[in-house]
Amino acid sequence: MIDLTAFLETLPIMAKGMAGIFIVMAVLLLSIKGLGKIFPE
Amino acid sequence: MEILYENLLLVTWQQVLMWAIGGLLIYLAIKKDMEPALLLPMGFGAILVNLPFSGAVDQVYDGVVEHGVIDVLFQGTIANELLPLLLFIGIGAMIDFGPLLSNPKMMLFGAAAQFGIFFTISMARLFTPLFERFSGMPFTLRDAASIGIIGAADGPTAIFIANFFGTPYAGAIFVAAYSYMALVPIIQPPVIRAITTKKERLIRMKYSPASVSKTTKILFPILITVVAGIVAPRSVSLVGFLMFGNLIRECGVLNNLSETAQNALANLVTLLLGITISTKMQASLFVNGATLLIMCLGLVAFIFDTVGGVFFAKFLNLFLPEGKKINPMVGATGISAFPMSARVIHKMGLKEDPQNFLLMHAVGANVSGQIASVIAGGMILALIAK
Repeated sequence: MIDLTAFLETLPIMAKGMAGIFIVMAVLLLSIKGLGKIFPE
Repeated sequence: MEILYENLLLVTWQQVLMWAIGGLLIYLAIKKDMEPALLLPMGFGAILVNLPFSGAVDQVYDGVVEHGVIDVLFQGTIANELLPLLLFIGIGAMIDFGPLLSNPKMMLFGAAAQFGIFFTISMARLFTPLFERFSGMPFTLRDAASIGIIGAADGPTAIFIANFFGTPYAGAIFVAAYSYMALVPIIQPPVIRAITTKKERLIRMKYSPASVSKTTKILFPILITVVAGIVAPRSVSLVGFLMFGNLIRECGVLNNLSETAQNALANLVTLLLGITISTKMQASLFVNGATLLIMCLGLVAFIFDTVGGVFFAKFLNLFLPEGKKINPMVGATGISAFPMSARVIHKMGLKEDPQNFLLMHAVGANVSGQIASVIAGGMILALIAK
């Protein structure tokens, strides 16, 4: 009914995927802050 | 006379079931106002393609293929990802990133609330034997990823990824993606109440937005495209078209194009998108246990998106001083269903405390979810489509 091996194989993808999204969003966050400093209202 | 009724005798119960599903989608669109622009064309399409020997889809007569218009449209506009991408231009032109740019830390909630995608990929793989039993085909990681992307809460991204991977479960995935997006006001509140305390839901958040210059608003879509394109080049068309639409909106010199993208383009694409993807709702592809499983997994995806966002806010609160803590409900708005999720959380906040206005924080996180869902699509392509 279930395939534990296939499930376990996806855990590194989950880790890499979430880490990747957080890194990209963090880079964008810092970039927005940087843009705000360089081009203030 | 026989010619008038001989086709009626060829109707199968699976086709009748699809008519009922089509009718249900039309009912939900009209009576419940659930994503009517998509569910109504999909519902009508589900009936259209499930008539015996429907000329709307490809049929084989005496060994010769007669092309149906819906399959022709699918091959010409969705199989090559054209319509989802064009829709992204319209969506990009509709989004005001102002609340996010003035409160950029909300970016992180967009990331956290993509957890449901990856959790669902894992769950789908766990049930590999069930999928194989129901469909009689091998169930691959690409199929699981296509199901997981329902958690992006973003229809065009779901279409793009499912189509890219060529999964045979595309019809169920499209229906699940759009149905659950419309059900966000029903799905999120009980999940949030189950994993937060009353005290947490009462947390007030000050809103002191930083001013955002026009130059920043113009450079932002270009910056996102470059960063996302470098990290996940396969997703650059997804992000790029979304940001192109936003650049048209923010540049200030293309108001006519911006209005066209927001209205005429988005409406035209939506009109064709709904009816075209109904080709994937033919009974032979749709009526099986795998569809039920996908509907369940779609729900799991939305629930764990919400859980991911809420728990991330709780985690940040461990390090934040009193007065700067984040209301965990705001974390749940990191999903891409905009502006529905932000509205839901705003209302929940007001229900707990009529003086607690979470709307602007929620909108910021919700907008970041739109970016993060596309980035998530790109990460899936980068990690799985090797």
